[in-house]
This record gives sequence, structure tokens and C-alpha cells, in this order.
Amino acid sequence: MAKLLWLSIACATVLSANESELELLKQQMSALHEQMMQMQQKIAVLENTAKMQVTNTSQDETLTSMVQNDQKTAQTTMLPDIAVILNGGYTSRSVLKDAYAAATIPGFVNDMEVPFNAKNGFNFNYAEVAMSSTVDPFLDASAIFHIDGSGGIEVEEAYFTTRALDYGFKAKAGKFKSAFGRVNEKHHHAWNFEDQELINYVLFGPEGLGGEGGQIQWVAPTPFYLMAGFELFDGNPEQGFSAKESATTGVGYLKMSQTLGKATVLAGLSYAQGKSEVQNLDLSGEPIANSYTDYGQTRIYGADLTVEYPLGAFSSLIWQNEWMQRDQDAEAQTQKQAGFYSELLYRMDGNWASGIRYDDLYRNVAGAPDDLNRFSAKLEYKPFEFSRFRLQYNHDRSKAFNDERKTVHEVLLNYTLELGAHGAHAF
Amino acid sequence: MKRILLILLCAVPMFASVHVTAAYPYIGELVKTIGGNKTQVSVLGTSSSDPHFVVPRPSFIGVLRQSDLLILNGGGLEIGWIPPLLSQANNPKIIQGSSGYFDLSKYVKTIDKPASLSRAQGDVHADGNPHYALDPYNIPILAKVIMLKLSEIDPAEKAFYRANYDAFAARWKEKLTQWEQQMAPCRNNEAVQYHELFSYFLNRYGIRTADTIEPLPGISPSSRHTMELISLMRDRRIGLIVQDTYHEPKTAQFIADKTGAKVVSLPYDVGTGAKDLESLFDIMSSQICRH
Repeated sequence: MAKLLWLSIACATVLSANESELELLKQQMSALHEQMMQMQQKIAVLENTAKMQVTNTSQDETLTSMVQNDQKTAQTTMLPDIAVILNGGYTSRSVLKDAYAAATIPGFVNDMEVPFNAKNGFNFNYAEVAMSSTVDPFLDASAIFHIDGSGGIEVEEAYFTTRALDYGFKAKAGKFKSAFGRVNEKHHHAWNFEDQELINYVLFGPEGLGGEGGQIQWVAPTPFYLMAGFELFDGNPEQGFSAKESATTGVGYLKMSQTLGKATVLAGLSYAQGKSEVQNLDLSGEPIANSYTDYGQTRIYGADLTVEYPLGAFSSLIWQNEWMQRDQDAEAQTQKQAGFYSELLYRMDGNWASGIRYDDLYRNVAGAPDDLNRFSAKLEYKPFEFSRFRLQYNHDRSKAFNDERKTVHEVLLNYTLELGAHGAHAF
Repeated sequence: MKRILLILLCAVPMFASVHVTAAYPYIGELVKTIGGNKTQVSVLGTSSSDPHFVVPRPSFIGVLRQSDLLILNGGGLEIGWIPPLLSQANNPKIIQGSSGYFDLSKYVKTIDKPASLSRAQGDVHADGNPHYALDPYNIPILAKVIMLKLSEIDPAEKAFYRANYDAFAARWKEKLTQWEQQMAPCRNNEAVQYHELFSYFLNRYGIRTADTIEPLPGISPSSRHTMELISLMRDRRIGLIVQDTYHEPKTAQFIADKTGAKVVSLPYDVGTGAKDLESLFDIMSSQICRH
């Protein structure tokens, strides 16, 4: 339309020789053009305003019934959410696999279990299959299967939780990890480093504190976060508790968090107690069925502190610390052992992160070294939300080989991929 | 002493109000407008963080524990941070499926719903683009359903909520006309965005999004894609880059330097840079369509 008009102006110019007439025509044409633009704008405004009228007169009743029947459309699918997590990598360690598996952590661990990155070279660590769903209006349930590189399948966790208890309570039962401390509950793929914090490993073993049991948690009606929890588990000798049938371990904890300015502070106190009974051995060293010596109690105290400080939308500093002490009644006296870790993590942007960690076991049984420690550093690259590549170095002074302490150097390059259902991670 | 206690106990229900937790600031603004002093509003997200990745601070659990109503943007925007908070808050009033769990995305029409779903396309949302609140024509709809929801939870104050809504809707209608006039000259223009965050606003006023700075949703800019973008913008004479406040601004500036385009950095929610909902859209319209 506009083109046609301008074309006619051009024709008019050729036909007319009069300069002043030409000027007049030009003015008229530009005025016309201006008017047309205004009309176009008005049409656009009218179009949108008409749409607005439609939305405004759309029946209130329809919206009202939609709002009230909202809950009926909430469950879109009956299938559980399914996620698969893959982890593996390349390991270079100053000690070969068999020697490493025969190592000890003096005073703490006699039989080393190396669940991840066991050998030098390529390791496929695991495929973890997690399924979770709402069971009925009152219960949610999850099952997490851990499949290792050699095909061994294990139920890592399988539990149900209540949905509808009042007054801030929630109950959980099944096989699950304890919420003791800061990291015990987290699965390998959610760890800050590729291996477990030393104090967690030496006190609770590679699986962490937990097992078959029950849990009750209560969130206080406070403006800040205050949560108390209590758990009972079957005793597990790998976790330093009685191996006797029907022996139970009790766990209790208190967690608090508050946002102070831009920083978030999370602090926790934890306690676990169970019998320290030891299975008796016969003369040849074989365990005797149902024969135990009761030495008393094992008590584990824990304290943790995490401070998160945001530096930008995708950048932050996290300082995470945890301390634990175990008092274990033994033959003649109570053995006291303790350790801690401290981690500083820096998220540079959405893709890159780095971190350093110091582990220290500073208190040990008589005759065992009390300067067992480890330094770690890592660099992480996340091309996407669900994929992560991590390079880690460990300078490990916690191991002994044939009763002789030797520093282990490790370089780990690992990938972690999350497939399927969107797995949101807790703080 | 007993009498004082009695008075105190009676006084509590008098001040009782609906505890509402809003996932994002704009929802909080709407609830305050409709609910006034009959509601107590807590907001979780902030305008300076990526709405997909709000840090799930444990202090939010304390807030959710005491809420009567949780209002979500929905459309998958909160899926990376709300579910663990909700499961830890132990509050049956606001869990999914209860009447206190309110997903606003169900009441608006979303755009760019993917025909096929694969993470090879990046962080795509199955329910379409979830940033629908940036279409100013959606705001009265959201205000209305919030009004209806509050009336359902707190029927005694139904008339109060309705009156507030009517006043808001009338004011908003005037503003819509104003934004129409502001945006009209820019109709049929093309723009480049960092993420498809402002699509609803741009679409509404006839501005086409030619491409995004991120190659795929949730993927950081690559040099190859940036170069393609520069030649595309030169070929099509695209002069506008719409940048949000939380992604890195360097790539946009680099492209602008190469193409002569103008970078407009815009708030996407109420907070830093936009004191309320009206000024949010005032800023967007005046920045995107300057004349």
C-alpha cells in the first residue's frame, strides 16, 4: 500500500514540472504516510484490547471451578519418576589395586573397602536407578538400586515417608541413610568430592550410617529452620555397632538454619548410640554363632557448620565443616577417636567450580597415630545441569601398608551423568 | 493475670490471616494487592537470581512449614528447587494435590510447547515457555485466579478480595492501553534475547525473537553460535539485544560491538530495578521501544 503511494508520487514528479507544486505534493504525501502509520498502530492496539475484553469477560464460573478443582488434575501420570545416574572415570594412584585394598587406616579401619575408583586405569563405578512416586494420599515411596561395574545389584535405599501428618511431623521407614550430620544422607553423586570425607568413612564405612530402620522428624513452627529428628536402626558392625540380632542403634539430631544478610548458615548437632558387642571367636579364629561379649556402649557425637555466600546468580562460596567423636567402650577402657573435615568450595559460574578439602583424624586409640590426614583439590566442569566432569587430586597421609605409613597420591578424573527425571538436590 | 491471658488468646484469631508463600516476587506482589492486610506474604525467589535455579535455602523450609497456601509459577520453572523444600517442610496443607498447592501456569496459555521432548534440545520445558508472567495481558488473569483462590481458603473475606481485584483490574486496563501506545511503533521489529525469557512480552507487541545468545536453553554461549548470530543480525539488520540481569553480559556486549546493535538490560521480576509490577512493564516497554 505504502509502496504504491510512493510510486504515484514518483510518477507525479515526472509529470509535473512545477517545483512548488512538487513540494506541496511531497508534504501531502508525508502527511498521508504519517496518518497511515498512526492508523496501523491504532489497529494493533484495538486488536490487543479486543483480546483483553475477551479475557475479561471469560466466565468467572469457569475459572472458579478450575481453581476449586485444581487438586483433581494434579496427578498427570501414574508412572513413578525414574532417574538413572552413571558414574565412572580414570584413576591414577601411586599404589596398585591389591596393595591399596590391603591397606589400613591405623586404629580405625583394618579391612579397606574401596567402592569407587578401585583400580588404576578406567573404572566404571555404578549405574544408580532411582524411582519415586506418591503411593496414596498419605504416603510417598522411593527405591534406589545401585548396580556396580561387575553387575552386583544392591538396594541402596528403599523407604516410604508420610505426606499428611500434622504439626510438622514426618515419619519414614524402610532401608535408608541416616540424616546424622551434614553429608551422611547424601548419595555419591551429590558429594562435593569424588570420595567420602575421611571421618565419615572411618566411623560409618562406605555405605554411611543407616540401614533397616525408622525415622521421625519434626520441623518447628519458627521463622527460621529448626528440625529435630530421631531414628532407630538395626545394629551394623560396619558402622561400629553391635552385630548381635535385635541390637539397635539410636540416632538423634537437631538442625538449624538462618539467612544472615546474603549468607545462609546451616548448623547441626548429632548423636548416635548403640551397643558395642563383639562376636567371640573360637581357637581357630572363626566367629562363634550367637556368642558375644558385651563391652558397653558406642557413642558418636557430631557437629556441623555450613556457610553459603552467594557472589552472583551462578556464583557462590561454600564453607562446610563437620566434626565427629566416637567413644567406644572396649575391653579395659573407653576408646576415644575423633576427626573433622573442612571444605571450601567456589562456584565460578554455571559451568565451572573448584574446591579444596582438608581431612584430619586427630585423636586415636593408644598406640595408633593421631596425625592421619588428607589434602584434596578439585576442578569441575558442568556443560549442562545434568552432566559433570571432575578432576581431583588427593595427597593422602592416612594409610598404612604392612604397618608402615606411606603417602598415597591419587588423581581422579570422573564423569557423573543424570538421565531421566529431573533430580532436584537439597541444599 | 488470667484475664490478660484470655484476652490474648481471643486476640489471636482476630489477627489471624492467610499465610501465603509465593515462589517469585511478582506472585507476592499480586497476593499483596489482592489480599492486603488479610494475608501474610513470604517470597522465596529474588529478581537477581535465575528463576530456574533459586538456591533452596533451609530457611525456606521454616517458611513453608507455616504456610496455608503456596503459589507457584508452575510450568516446570520451580522443578529444580521447590520439590526437596516441600518434602522437608512436613506441611500437608501445601503438598501437591492439596488445596494449598496452587500452580498458576494452569490458567494461562503457554507458547513454544515442544513437539518432541529430548534434552538434546537443552533444558526444554514440556509445558512450554514458563515465563508467561511477562505478558502484561496475563497479569489480570493471574490476579483473578489468586482472588478466587484466596476467597476459597478464606471465604469470610471474599468481598474484600473481590473489591481489591476490581480496583487492580481497572488500573491495569489503563496501563495496558498506555503500553500499547508505547510499543506500537516497534511492531514487526526483530530482536535477539539471551534466554527466551521475554518472549511473551515481545510476542505480545509483535516483536519477533530471531534467535537467542545461548545456543540451546540452559547451555552457555559458544563462539560458533555467537559468530552465526553476528552474521544473522547483520543480514537481517537486527538492532536490539534483550539481556536479562542474571546472565553474563559480556557476550551480548561483544555481539553489540560487532553489529552495532543496542543491548537493553531488563529486570524480569519485581525487585532490583523495578519497584512494583507496573514499573516492571513500564521499564520493559520504555527500554525495548524507545522513541
